[in-house]
Amino acid sequence: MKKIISLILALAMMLALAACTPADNGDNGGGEGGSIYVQTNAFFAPFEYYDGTEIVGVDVEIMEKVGQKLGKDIVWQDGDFGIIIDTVKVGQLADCGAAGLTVTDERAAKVDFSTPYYTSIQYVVLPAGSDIAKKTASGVEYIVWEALAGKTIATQTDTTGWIYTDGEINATADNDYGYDGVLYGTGTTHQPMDNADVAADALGTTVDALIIDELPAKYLTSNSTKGLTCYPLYYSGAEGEADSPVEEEYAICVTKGNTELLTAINEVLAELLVEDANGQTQIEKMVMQHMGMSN
Amino acid sequence: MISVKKVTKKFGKLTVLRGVDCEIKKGEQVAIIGPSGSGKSTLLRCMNLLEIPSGGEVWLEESLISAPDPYLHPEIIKESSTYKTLTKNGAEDACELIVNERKLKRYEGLGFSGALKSYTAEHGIGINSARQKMGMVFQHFNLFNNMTVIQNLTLAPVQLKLKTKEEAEAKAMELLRRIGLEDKRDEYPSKLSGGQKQRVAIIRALAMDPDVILFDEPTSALDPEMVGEVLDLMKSLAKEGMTMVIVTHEMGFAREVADRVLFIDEGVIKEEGPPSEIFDNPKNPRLKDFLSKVL
Amino acid sequence: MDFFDNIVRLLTTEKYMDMIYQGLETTLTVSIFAAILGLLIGTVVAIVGISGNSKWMLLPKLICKIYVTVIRGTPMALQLFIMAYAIFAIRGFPQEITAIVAFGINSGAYVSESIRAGILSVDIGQTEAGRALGLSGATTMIRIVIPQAIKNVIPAIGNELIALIKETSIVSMIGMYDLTQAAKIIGSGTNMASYIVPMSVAACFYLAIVYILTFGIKFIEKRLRAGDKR
Repeated sequence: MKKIISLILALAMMLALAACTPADNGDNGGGEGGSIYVQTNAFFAPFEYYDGTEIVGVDVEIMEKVGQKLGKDIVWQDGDFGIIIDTVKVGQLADCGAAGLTVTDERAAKVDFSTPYYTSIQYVVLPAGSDIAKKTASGVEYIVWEALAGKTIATQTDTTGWIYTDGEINATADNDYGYDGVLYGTGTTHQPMDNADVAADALGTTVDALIIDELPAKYLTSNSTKGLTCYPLYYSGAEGEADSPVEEEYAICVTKGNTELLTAINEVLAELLVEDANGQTQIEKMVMQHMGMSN
Repeated sequence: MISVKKVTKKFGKLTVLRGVDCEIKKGEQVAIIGPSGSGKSTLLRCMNLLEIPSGGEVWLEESLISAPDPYLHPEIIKESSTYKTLTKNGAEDACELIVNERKLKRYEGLGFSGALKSYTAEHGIGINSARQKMGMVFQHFNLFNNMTVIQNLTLAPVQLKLKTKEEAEAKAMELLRRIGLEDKRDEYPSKLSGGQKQRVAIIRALAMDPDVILFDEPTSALDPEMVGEVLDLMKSLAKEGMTMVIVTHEMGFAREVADRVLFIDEGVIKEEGPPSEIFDNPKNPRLKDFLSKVL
Repeated sequence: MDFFDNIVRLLTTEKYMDMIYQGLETTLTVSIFAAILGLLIGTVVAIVGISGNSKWMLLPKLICKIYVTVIRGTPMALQLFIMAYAIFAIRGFPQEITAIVAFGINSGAYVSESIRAGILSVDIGQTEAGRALGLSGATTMIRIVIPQAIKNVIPAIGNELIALIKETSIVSMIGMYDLTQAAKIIGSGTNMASYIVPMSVAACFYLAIVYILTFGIKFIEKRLRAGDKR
């Protein structure tokens, strides 16, 4: 699928160049007016999700502020999560992508990333009555990769959960991955799904666990009527060292070279990341608010 | 009225007509007889170009309705590059050589194509206007199934602006009265008997005020008890002096009505003459054989 | 029964039903206009396909042949993707039009084959009778052949229409808010956090549309046969 997408986008680029369409009418250049086109996948609460027919969320609020700063409208384009990076890379359809995107080297080679604005931990969502072993350290209950050996793990295709799981199951030092996966050769099954909600429905029947970012995981468990539970996912520490959470950082991506937009986004993020008297940032407040946990 | 000149017709590798010459005079009733597969229907269909002749020409009065056949026109052959090459090389009667050996190639130079074009422009007439003057009656009636009797009769005259709708309907009713079917004016063809259908088909041709009517085995598809009513109508047309060309198996009818009978076999006219000659004093052995089987 | 409780919950929640209606509107808009476009394209392609082999028709015939082969030989999802992210990769271009064009072009290829078969099923004698009266090929086609072909074609076109409506469910792939997308959103973690219930409701809506359509096609068929007095 990824290859096809790249191929299509390459074709799009060629068409755009050949036809010299007025599509790039300076919207992503300087000056007042015009619009900023943001590619997203609006199934990632609390960062972007549909409220009725409207896309809302933390990323939406951030980009609105960026729009105000630049005097431009923000146009949201929903679509497959997998096409966001490539679309922004080409720049024909979108100026930037905001979808709780984790910064990875592979992605950074294609697009420019803003400063990270949120640190997320990978979570494991379990069905009611799951027998997967939990560990506890300094009051936090968590699950280590090893506990998932032999299980069927669901993820959302192309998300970081998918990337991590794919790596841990398939990687050995001898193949292209170049490192040893924790779950390599343990008979663990990886079940990528279109969307985390589908996976949630399958929990307890065809799927034993779902690996997904912290916030959507909490969302899922709090809104579900099926008694789902969720725990942070940890790497086992080496001899004598503590176990550590599987962490990642979110950022907004911009077509390479669009420094004006990138600067504006970074300025807005800098403002939102200032801690208040309680040591809480604006972004953290937005997250709480969108999760219905404000105050 | 209709002149058929050296007409040949091939269907792929099968040659059905091998150079037929015949002349239909005004007011004449000509019957075409012959064993099945002899090419008699094909000859009739070549007359109004429902089959496009592979060679030869078809004329209606002074107008060429088929494509011109260069082999019939020495003055056109002289424009061909083959002729010019042959003459240059000292051939005495290049024209005759080309005709006898059918030496013309697919492309014979601009002069040749120009000569063909100007010949067509001078003598040719559009096939649609030629067909307006040549009625046709089919073996299987071919009434328009999606139209009522009256619509069948008025469609072409009105569509071709030969008559106004009122004139066409008046004429149609007159013709329907003639065959005693005025009460069927609003019926669909599926409600008519075979004999009624064929009589309507004949007056559909008459509604165009044609100069000649071609009949393609008009009674072959009828139940025996209905043959009479159709033949009676045709006889009355003949009495009025309508020019008719009739492909038929009804030898009695041919003898009674036709001025002239053409016996066609193996793609050529083997014998022709008045019915008395053909039926009572046949000369060609194939004709004798044929008559012994059908009489 | 948890499942039925949730169905009731969905059907009685105004917000969810608004979402369903919004999605239904998109599904119907795309389906109806794509069907019209498909019929137009299909008719033209069918007529080009069965027209004579004159030298003027060779190129159009070749183009139509390639069109039908390529469209019928590739998945609809990829066609939609190419339409959205290559051909109409224009900022702010209305997605409805992208989808209508993609589905219209797709449907046209299938419809053209049905119409072609329908036209060929009309006895050649009908055309010959028309032409023998001096009518042009086009007049014969329009007045005599096509009216008879339509009757043969309606059931096949109806099936194509039904397939088209169901197939529009993939427009959510390019982020369009159709019935399936509405169901997905209602099923997402921010709302009901379960797919099965909203998907079942959406399926019932598709079923209802298809049922109404089937009924309509039967009705039209009956009318045509009645007009025929057979």
